[in-house]
Amino acid sequence: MTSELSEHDLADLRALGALGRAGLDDKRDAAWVAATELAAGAGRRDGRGLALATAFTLAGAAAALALFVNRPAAPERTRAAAVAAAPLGYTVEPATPEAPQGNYLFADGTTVAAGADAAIAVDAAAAARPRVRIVRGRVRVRVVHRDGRQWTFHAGPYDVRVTGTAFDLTWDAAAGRVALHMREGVVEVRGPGLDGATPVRAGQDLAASIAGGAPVLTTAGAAPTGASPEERPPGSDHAGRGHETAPGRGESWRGLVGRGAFAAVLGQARERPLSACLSRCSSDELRALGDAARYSRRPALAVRALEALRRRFPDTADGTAAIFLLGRTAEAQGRFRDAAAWYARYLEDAPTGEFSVEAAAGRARAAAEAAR
Amino acid sequence: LAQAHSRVAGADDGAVAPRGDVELVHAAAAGDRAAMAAIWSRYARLVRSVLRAALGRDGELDDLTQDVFLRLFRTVAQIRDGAALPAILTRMAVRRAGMALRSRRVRALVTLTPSAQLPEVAVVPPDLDVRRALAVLYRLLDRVKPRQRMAFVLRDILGMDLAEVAAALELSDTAARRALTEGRKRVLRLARHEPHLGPFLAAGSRHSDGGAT
Repeated sequence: MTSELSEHDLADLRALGALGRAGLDDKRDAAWVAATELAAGAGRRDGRGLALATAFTLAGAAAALALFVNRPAAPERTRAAAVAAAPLGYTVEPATPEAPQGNYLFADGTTVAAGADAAIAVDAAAAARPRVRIVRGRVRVRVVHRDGRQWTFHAGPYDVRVTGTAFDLTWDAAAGRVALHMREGVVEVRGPGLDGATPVRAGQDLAASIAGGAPVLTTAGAAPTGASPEERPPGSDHAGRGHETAPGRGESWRGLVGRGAFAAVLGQARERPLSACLSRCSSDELRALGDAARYSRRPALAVRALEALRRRFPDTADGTAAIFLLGRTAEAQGRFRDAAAWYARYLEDAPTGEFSVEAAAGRARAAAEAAR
Repeated sequence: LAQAHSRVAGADDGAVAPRGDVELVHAAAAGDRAAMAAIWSRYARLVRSVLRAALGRDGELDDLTQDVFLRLFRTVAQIRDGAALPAILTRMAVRRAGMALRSRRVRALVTLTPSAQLPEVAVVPPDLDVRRALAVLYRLLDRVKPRQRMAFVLRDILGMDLAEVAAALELSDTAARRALTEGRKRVLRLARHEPHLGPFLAAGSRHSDGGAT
């Protein structure tokens, strides 16, 4: 076979072969297979929230492979899938090379970080309406709202509909309890004990149980509020409807943001006036102002607040977070090069920071968009 | 094939001892879904790697991989030697890749896209030079006859020995050797005229990782 080829030819063939092997993309293939093999191993546990990752037929019988991640039952396989699971229609990669376990990065930038005891199932059969079922345990989620995708997270009988936000969701399967902590944005929750679609906003916690008892909606720094109509005092704000209460002058801006009173924050900032606020407001206020502006779709104002926060409080957690949020804002505006630069800067400054997973995902996403 | 398989196929990492191929094939033929799933887990990467090596980046890679297994499970009852499962799957993947290549040529004729290449799904390139060179390599391979192309891919990219190449291509050893030699010459001739591949060829020994000779 080699008689007609010189050593030089063979060396070049080896080089071309190595080049071809570089394109095999073993990592991505492994991710894809890991996801589907988990699906095969776990099988369908129930009829909801599980994906048909692929279907095999034999003698007229359909065999379904559901994408399923089950940590306690199959620790080795779970580890493989935790590195990277790839539901159909989505690319899932390790969120961070250093700590890949339990972090899932989807093609639209959404991240799901599962706790050590968590088990999740991802259903991306309908690409526009991806669903994640929390089988058990706690997951940290950051949904990127792109392309009109409607993410839904199922925790037992509770459904959390998401439109671009960050939260922690815990499902205690044995006790039938759900706990939701909103870190950013707004979600709607439906389920037993709740009065229809219940909005939960940044800074709020929702606890509910199928075993009975009224769901409890708690706002940071405020007394717990019964989420069901029966539990609320007459005349109180219907927390479950998400109406803004009248903003109190003594209430912190972060508290106002937590209640969704974004306009109140923006109004108070302008009264100072805005330029004075940018140079004299506290880091907490600037962070809240940035959040309020982002949620109100005022990116220019958000950038000013976050720039001020970063410039005036460079060595604080809020100042570092501002770098990431500037990236998020730039990405939302379609300024992908700027976004990638901000994310990279954040990763340099806070490689293990609060948003490191999201920043790594964002950097990759923005770089890819910028290269188009 | 063992080398290629060990490199690309995921090892069984379940808590229980892995079942042998013979047993899996037998069970799959009897309709055992767990056995089918185990076959998938064991060989999906192998099949996918063969397809990817043959076709380069292809948006239909997932579907093609699944298609190979669909065909396997439809005919699994006809497999007499379960121990030959990896070779059978490789052969099926090669066949499926050949069909995909023919489809590409048809697409080129009907001109859905001038190059018969669909836009790539956006990914983050690990190295732009490598990515560009890979794109050039696969454009170049599109100008090589399918049998010769597959022989080159199986031998020089996937590292199979000649007997395995022959089996995968369903050729005699002599015919496989001829296809390989002609394919290699053709690939070299084309590659040496590609500026983007120059740095890789010039650094042949540096990029080599002990592949086939």
